[in-house]
Amino acid sequence: MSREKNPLVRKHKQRALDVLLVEDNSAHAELIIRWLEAHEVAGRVFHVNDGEAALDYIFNRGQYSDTESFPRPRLVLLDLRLPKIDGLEVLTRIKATPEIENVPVIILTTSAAQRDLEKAYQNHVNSYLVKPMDHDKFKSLLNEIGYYWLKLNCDTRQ
Amino acid sequence: MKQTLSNRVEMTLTHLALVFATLVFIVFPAVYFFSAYSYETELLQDKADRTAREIAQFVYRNPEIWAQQEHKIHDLLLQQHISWSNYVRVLDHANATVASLHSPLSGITLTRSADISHGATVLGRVEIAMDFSDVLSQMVVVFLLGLAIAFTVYSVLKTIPLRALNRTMGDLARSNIALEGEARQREHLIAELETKNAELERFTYTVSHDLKSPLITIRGFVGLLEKDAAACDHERVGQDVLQIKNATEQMQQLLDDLLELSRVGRASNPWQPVALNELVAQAVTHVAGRIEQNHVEVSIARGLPGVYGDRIQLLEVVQNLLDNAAKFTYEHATPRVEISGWQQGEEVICCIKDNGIGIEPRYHEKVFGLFERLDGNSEGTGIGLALVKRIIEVHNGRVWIESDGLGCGASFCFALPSADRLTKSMQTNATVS
Repeated sequence: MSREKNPLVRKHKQRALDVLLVEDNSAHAELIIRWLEAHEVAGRVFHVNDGEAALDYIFNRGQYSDTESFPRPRLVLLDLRLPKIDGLEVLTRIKATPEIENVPVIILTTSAAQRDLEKAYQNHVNSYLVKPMDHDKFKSLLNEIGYYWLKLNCDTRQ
Repeated sequence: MKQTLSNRVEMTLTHLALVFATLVFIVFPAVYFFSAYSYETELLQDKADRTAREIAQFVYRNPEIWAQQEHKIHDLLLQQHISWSNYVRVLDHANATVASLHSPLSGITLTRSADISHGATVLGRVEIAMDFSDVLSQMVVVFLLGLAIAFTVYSVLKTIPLRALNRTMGDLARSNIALEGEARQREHLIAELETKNAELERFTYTVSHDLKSPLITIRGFVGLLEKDAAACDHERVGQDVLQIKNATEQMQQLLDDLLELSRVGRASNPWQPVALNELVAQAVTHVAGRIEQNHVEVSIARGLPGVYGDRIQLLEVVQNLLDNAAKFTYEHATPRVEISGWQQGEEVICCIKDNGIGIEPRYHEKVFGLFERLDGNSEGTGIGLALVKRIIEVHNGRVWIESDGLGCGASFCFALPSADRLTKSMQTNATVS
């Protein structure tokens, strides 16, 4: 499967981070993709609609079994309220898996509920963005994450 | 607890009554016996003494020959007015009988004697005897009487306080039961309130999340619009405006849905008996568009039972479930929806079964949540099943899904209290009040 035909891939930039975007609201997904496009850190964006698809993608199951077409993301943008499996569950599963626990996860949510925040931080979420998101804050977050990968993990993808 | 206390009191009372009864039973005849005995002996002794004194005077006048004058002594005895039932003997110093009065007694006798003295010398003695068996036979009567009194005392002591106690205990037990009932009712109410509260919290969370969502889209795309307009990118400006427009429409839809959901609890229409057959037929005509579009074959079982409730709301339930079934059968070559219903105990169960895409068991609860959609791409806001659940709950029923998973089709079932039962209970209530 060529990368151009992969429906999940929205943009391809050389030497940039592969991003998994888990967002069921298509308008929000569109918005975030537009922001990511404008940022040099973000590379290919793989977009899935629900928690189940997110886990399938991360663990290369089902239709996402091809690791070439669906590479491991280096940043996960995760909505909390998702169809099928909710965002907190996806977060817990990511952070409980040693190979991917260091992949930064940014929670994107409309919920500023204390309960959700606490649970997310208990699960070592890297950042928590409450919608309505600020474009500038989003940009600086992406900068930080780019820096994180550069500084702490010099493994640039071949 | 109540039983053991009652038993303990009964035991104590029985012991107490037994002690009293025994006392009565022993003391009453004993007192009678001893008083009878002492009275009779005193009487006899008195007679014996008196007679001995009379004879002593006679002896005093005829000291040498008194023992030979039997008839004189006999006369003397006669003058003493001694009861015919007593046997009197006069003996000389050698214990030979000088004279006697009345016939000798046999059986149990009581005898008293008194000496006949002349100065310091005892010349003989008077013996007087009575038949004691009379007293003894009286004793039997007294004994029986004692027994009767004892028994009466026993039963009175035992039963009357116990009856009073039992009455008190009964009152206590009754008020206890009433209290327990109240407590249970209160607990039930608290549990219900807690559930409602949790539901409300979930509801508020969902609503705030879902209503915010279009606002975020609008805000985000307004920001992008500014940039795209500044860059004179007309294509992108058009896209941005479309996103904003769609978001406002979505917001409108969500608000309409919420309003509809909030109407359910306020039950604006009067409840009435509703024939499911008519309801289903009407729902089918309302959903005809979708049914024809997806070429769905609909079969309705005959003789569906009746239910009781808000006809318009129940129509909405059937219509939503039917629309749902028709919507998710699009993948099947020959889409089919079957509607069946039956009476089961005091409930009417109705199932709407399709051969559509099916639902995995772990999502069976989740799909009834507000604005919850398993398929993010399907149309609608996700209000339909939440509305169904709310309406059925307002009608004191329950709703559930039977489906083995993806590709296995699904049955959406609801149970409502049957119309018969409801009308019956209403009649009972009417007669009671």
